[in-house]
Amino acid sequence: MRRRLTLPALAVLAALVPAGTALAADATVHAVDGTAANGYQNLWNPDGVSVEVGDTVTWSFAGTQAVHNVASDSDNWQLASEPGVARAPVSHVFTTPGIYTFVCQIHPTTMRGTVVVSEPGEEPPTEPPPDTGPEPWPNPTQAPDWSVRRDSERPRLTRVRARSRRNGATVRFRVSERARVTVRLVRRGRTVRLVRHGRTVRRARHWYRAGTHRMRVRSRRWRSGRYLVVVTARDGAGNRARPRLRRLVVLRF
Amino acid sequence: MAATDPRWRPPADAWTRRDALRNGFGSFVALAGLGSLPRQAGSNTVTSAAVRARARSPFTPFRRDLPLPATLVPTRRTRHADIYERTVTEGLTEILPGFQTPIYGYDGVYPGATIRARSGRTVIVDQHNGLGFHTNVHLHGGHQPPRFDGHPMDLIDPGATFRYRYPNDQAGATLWYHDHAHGILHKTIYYGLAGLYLLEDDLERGLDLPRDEYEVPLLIQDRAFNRDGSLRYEENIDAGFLGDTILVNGAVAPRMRVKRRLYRLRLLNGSNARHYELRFGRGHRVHQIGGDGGLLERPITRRTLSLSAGERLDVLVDFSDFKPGTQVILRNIAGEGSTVAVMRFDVERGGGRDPARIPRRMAHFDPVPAPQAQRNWVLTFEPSARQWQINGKVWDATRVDCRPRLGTSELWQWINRSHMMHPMHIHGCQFRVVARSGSKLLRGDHGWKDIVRVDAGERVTVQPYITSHTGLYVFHCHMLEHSSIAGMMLQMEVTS
Repeated sequence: MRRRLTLPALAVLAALVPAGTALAADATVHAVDGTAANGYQNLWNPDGVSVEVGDTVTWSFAGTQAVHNVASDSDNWQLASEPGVARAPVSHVFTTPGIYTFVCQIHPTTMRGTVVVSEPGEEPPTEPPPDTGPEPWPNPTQAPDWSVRRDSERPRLTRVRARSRRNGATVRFRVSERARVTVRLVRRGRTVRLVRHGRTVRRARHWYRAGTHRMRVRSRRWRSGRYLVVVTARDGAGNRARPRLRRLVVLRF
Repeated sequence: MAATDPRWRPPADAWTRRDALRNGFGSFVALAGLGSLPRQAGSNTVTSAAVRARARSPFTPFRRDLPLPATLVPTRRTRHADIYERTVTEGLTEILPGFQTPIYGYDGVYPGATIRARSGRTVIVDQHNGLGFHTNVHLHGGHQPPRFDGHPMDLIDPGATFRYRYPNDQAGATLWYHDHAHGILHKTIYYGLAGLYLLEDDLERGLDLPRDEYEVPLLIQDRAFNRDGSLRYEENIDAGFLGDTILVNGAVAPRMRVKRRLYRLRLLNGSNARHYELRFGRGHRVHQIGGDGGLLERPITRRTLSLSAGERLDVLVDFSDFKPGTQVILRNIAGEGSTVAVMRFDVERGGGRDPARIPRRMAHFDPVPAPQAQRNWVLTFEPSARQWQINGKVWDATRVDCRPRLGTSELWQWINRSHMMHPMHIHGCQFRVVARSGSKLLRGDHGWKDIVRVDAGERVTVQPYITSHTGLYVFHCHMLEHSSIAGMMLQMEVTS
């Protein structure tokens, strides 16, 4: 007994089988403007399509703000279109198998692409090896989110040591940034008078770069006793370091 | 249009031939001693510092101190002239930390060394062409006879030498020199053929302007890079080349330590096509004292500095307005992403007594004679031919497009009927901006200029005063792709 296909069954089959291979394999290539997001590179998206003989490739320029066109870049086909801003799409029907390259003549460095055309059912021809030119290195830097920044960071004083010397003391310290370091000596609750550059002062001060340094302080009356060494620092913006205190015992015979 | 010199090639070819390992993996191998690769004589990249530098992104802004181009020393001085000898050649330079970038350079250096000249004293440059293709030198903004102006067809053959003579009989100004060989200058300038030429006059010396270390030239350019550290050029005859990295004096968004004093910053936009809108910090007030053609009559207070391709600005910035320890970013508000941060100023304590002052009055401009002619120049894009045209014409070296008379002034109206701004530049003379159709004169329009921005759809009237010399000069758009390869350049013959 012969079975007959009913109408609904035919409809299902029609839906399953593509209406036409050529139509289903048509391809569209979009022109993309260079923006910060893509490193200012004007591009084709995609830059390579594979179609079968008889298919149509369409180049779309919708949404672009720069001038673009599309033209043939290989000798095996002819295509030229006028450059324009968001110009009308350009279509071309490929009737012979082969590899066809296209280019935007306004941006020939970055906007190049390939159309690979094969016979229906055949493997597409092998694409030529990719261009092995230098690889671009986009700058990933973001715009800074500030314009003026005050220095509010305190300088840090670390590794503070004090040793007694003849007629005075040597204070070693490490400072985290360029700062003016001040050393004061206290004995029995009173600040010891120091000699700096021939003058009598209550504090020894000097500007130091970031790093480890040594400051020598001298007193005309350097006597035995318990001393408190107070080291402070202040950077150019006026930020003060936390003071560092060290005890120093001086024995003089 | 003249064809591009077929011998031209990017300096990357030379780099590949000369030193393929310098920026590649081989450097690491040589450093680790794993291979028997010979260390390159004179190489300074195979160091621990270079390796450390590569571990971080070389594009990180504010990592490098602002380099200052060296000042060129004359090889000989006579009673009336300083004589320089220079060779334009290939070279290597470190733009991205840890990478050696092949460039073209005057004496192999990028940016080119600064020439400091005195008004009234001649400068002679014996320019040798050490490249494999034609080149020449145009002193941008200079009033030199046409044979020394770097006309696009006046070229120095490879291996030949030409003597440029700059009379410097003009007011002091921030000038610059660059290649002007037709068809290739957009690439040769991109690969490094540019430098500053600072012309000083007695008027300037008599003012208490910041000098020496407080007078800083800033050559601002945009570039793009390849993974191997070489410069990447992408041709775009529409918007021109736009790079994603801002260089100042050849360093990626550098930092500069400044004392709390008045600084004189000489800004030059040496980019192929990029236009900058610059702001110090949040729009700190600066004082513009000069433009393309030298000092203004009196300073102009500005918060945003518009700088189109090839334009110069001379500004005074008072960093004593900031507290010590403050960091101030010079921003390009016309940019986005990586093209916003131009450089950073780090304000330090101290500076001592500052003898510099913001002058109240500076130059005195003599009245310009009444214009003798009026010319309209319509700027358009011709899509079918991919040409930028002026009055429907493109560059033709055999055609003279106008003949102004020496000693007269004219009214030139730039009528921009295209979709983008064009910075229009006239060789051999300076002009005053007279009117803009769309607005009042911009703050940057004052003083003598040699480049004027003409926005899309705008009409800008300028008054050139033809005082220089008779002969052939060109005028063109200073977006280099437009003038070099898309034809946006015409020429005039100044007659007696």
